[in-house]
Amino acid sequence: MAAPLEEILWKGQNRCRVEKLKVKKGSHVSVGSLLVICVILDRDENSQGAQSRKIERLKSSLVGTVHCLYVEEGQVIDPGGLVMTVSPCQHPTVMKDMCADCGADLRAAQGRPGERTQHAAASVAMVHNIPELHVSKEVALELAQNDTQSLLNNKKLVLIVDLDQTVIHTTMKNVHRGLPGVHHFQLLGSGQCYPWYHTKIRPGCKEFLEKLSEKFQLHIFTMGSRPYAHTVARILDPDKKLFSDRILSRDECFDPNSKTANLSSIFPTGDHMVCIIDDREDVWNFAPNLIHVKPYQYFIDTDDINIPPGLLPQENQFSSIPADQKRTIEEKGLMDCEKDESAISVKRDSDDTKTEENSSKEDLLRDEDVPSDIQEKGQIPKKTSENLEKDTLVDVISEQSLSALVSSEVPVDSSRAEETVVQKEDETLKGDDLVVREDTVVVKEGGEENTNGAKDEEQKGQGEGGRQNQGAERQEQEKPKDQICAAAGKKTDVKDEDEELKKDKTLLDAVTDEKSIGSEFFSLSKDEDCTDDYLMYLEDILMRIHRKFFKVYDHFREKKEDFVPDIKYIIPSLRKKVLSDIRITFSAVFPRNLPPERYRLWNVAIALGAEVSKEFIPKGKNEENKTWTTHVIAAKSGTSKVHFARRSRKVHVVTPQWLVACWERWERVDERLYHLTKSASSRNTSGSGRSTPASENDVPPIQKSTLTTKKQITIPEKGKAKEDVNKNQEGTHDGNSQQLPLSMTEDYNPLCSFSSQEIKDMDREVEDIFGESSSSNNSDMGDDDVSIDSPSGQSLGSITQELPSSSEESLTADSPRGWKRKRGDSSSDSDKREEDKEDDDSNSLPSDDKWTSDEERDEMADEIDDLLTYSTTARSFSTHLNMPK
Amino acid sequence: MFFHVSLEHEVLLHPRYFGPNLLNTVKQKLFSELEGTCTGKTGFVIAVTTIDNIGAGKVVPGTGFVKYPIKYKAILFRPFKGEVVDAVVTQVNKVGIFTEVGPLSCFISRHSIPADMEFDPNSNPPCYKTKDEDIVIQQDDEIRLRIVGTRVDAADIFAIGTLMDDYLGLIS
Repeated sequence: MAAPLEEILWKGQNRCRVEKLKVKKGSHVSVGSLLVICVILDRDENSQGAQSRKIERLKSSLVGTVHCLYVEEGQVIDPGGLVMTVSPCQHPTVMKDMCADCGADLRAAQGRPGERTQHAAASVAMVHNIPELHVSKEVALELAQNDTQSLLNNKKLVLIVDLDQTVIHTTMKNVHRGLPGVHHFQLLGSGQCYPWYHTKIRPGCKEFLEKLSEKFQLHIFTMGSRPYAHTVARILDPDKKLFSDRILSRDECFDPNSKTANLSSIFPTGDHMVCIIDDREDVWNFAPNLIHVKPYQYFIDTDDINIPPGLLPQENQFSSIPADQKRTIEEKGLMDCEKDESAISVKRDSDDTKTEENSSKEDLLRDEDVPSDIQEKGQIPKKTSENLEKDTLVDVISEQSLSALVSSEVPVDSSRAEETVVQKEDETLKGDDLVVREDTVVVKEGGEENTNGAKDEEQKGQGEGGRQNQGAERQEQEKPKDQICAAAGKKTDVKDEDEELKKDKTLLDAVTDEKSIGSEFFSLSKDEDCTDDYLMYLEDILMRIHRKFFKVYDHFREKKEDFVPDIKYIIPSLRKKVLSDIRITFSAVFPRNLPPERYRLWNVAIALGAEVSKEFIPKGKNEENKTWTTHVIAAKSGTSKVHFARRSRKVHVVTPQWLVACWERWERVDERLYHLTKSASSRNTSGSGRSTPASENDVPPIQKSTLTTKKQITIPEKGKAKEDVNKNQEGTHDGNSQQLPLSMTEDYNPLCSFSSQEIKDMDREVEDIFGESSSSNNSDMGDDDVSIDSPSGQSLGSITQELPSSSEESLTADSPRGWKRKRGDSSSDSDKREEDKEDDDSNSLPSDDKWTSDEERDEMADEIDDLLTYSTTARSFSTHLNMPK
Repeated sequence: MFFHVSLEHEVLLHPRYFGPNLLNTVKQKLFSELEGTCTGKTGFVIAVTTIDNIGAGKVVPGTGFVKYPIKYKAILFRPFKGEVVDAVVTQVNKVGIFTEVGPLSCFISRHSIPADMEFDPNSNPPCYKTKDEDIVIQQDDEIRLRIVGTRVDAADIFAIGTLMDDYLGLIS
């Protein structure tokens, strides 16, 4: 800092008088800028008078600031006299290692960028998209203070917006070109191959941003590359009105895994006015001024494409235990004793659902063909690729028509919505939502389908219900696809598209394994998209923060105090009010052997201001008692806490999704939407997050189901052996149906998913209560396992040959011997457990006559299979061998 | 500053171009290889005006390519310190103004902008303007500046400019 001062001397031959000083102490001078206007005094000053006055301008020869002035106006300076001292340029602004003020080259000869010969004060990269431009801390502070002041004057805050999965969703996989609202672009850059990006903007995003730009200065912080960020910004904001050039991308990020580091350089005065919205908390190091956004996923199967390499995709956010911890649990071998128990409880739940809801045959069929469809897409590589392409294309088109239907026909929409709700209520098997809905549409479209279905039956010779229906659906889609196109208002030439597909196909030729085929044209969570209204809630949250901030600010300004509130305190305090008068206890949500404080949900509850206790505190007679538990958050019913809660009237028993919804929306969501029912509990244990009835459908990725298929393939020997043994017994199984529950547990839910390990841990709680009955259930379990595993073997084997025989068997009303025995056993068993329970809702539990079909049992068994790790297969197999034939 | 100078360049030609149009191909290749490029020594090659001489091509041993030494004249743009140029504003931010002088990018620091011009972040697009809004410098405006420093890399030149002198600033 203490560079030597440069002296500026009067270099004229004669004396001069200072006419006017053009600079003051501390003013900035650059080369050639005027310092002093002097009048040269001749020796014979008196004789010639004013006419010979010569004016000389003293100019600066260097860049810097005036340190000290040694002359005053009117003073006479001798030749060689000192005029002023200037402290040379400190290089406060440096661009590409070149001082932007004096033009001095600071880079060492032949040096690399950043290697400077001399120290420069500039070190802060203050401008979002120009990392080469550095300014000194002082300048940065000065600039930032100006910014802050202008923000305060305009009553604005800073809002940092994340792109991927917050306001947009982008995929790089092939997407049908005609999709409404999807932008397609290529990024030109280095390399030969420019991949296509397909970006869907979150519904209501433009309105959201426009409204917020009145109250916030918007910045983009994204982990995408610079061209990507700017392209997306151009899509969101073509006039550059919202974001201007305030776009920070991965290229400017100091730390590849974190966005926090850049914050201090962009906002040198601190982030007390900075509000962040992002779908990931880890990149912000869980900053208090971060609002965690419900991730937006439009393209199933695609996570954030710009996930930092060091970070994992966020799936288990709400149940994140350290990985090592998980491993130790596994090592402890806790699973064995819990497996049976968990499986049984889940099974019972699913039973309950089935019988309770009195599900119609149609529902059943629908449930059945869900997996078959998945399997068609994902598992059977035997189909010619062309066929597959066609199918997937048709899927996409039909989806468009679906959306068109939804938008155009209100009655259909409403009925569909109802149906959706029903589905949610009773659907223990949740496969691909999308497919399910397509089915509903197909069913509604009516007559045509039947004839096609019949045709299809003839062609394929399949008697099995689910497959038939599924085939019918596909046939139906294929036949009127032109109509569908027309209905969707798209005059797309299908042939052209086919060609296009083929082109794409050849591009992808190298990677045509079954997985890539399955996901080549994957479905979209269209229905979610239509109902994704999260940005409205987010807008409300942000407006609340804005109001609160300036209320506090104005309050202090009235008192003439110069105090700027800190948003890092405002956000948590506002959040704390959400559930401030609520006392929560958790049941079957966390495993018992780990401290619950480690879990996200626990901390979320505390962050929302709820009091959390480990035990259920009944209200009691004493009205003064203010600590009684108001909410029991249970992953499933049947725990002791739930029973206690049910007995006392004023306690809400809700699913964990309720808490998640509160967290996402910052409001006390109506508990009635999340009341824990039997069906809800079984859903929750499966880790799916159907939180709000109509709005928050997470659609399970198809690809995941194919992954699970692979899991099965890893144990081919066992599967085959079982297949041989069971082929005759297990007639009811379609090889496809068992696909479904697998995809169910893998169901995508970013906030509240549980690993099978955790589910087991939860079930231990149940085990504690119903400890005795577990032993008698074990034999049942074995049977169930067998029933599950056998079809897995089937599906692995030649499906086309095995299926007809199995479906024939399913058509005969007789159920195999093994099943009958089991059925009696398990139902009496569950009755027994009910007695143990002494629960008031025991009447809703299954009895023998409520079993509608064997398929149900299959589904149940599948669910169990799902929950178990495959290490049990060997054991179940042996159990099966001991079974009486 | 612009120069019209004689220069030399060697063009390597793939054997598949051997044929009746050989020399035309050589010329085309020269244009495409040179125009729009930048070397630290000569500056930006704006245009090749004449091709004075195409020397005898020699087959490069081992590859089959033919190497032609070519003498040509080209218009060059080489910025110098102290030069006054006209530029187009590309971006305005609180630290300064980014401009383009044809192929050359040039940055003007906030300190090199007359002190009576202040940054206004709230206007759209952001701009520097005087108090009475007499002069407003914003994106796409043309300004005259003096180059105070150049960063010459192997394939690019970057300049620092200033508006702190007489007759510099917005051209209206």
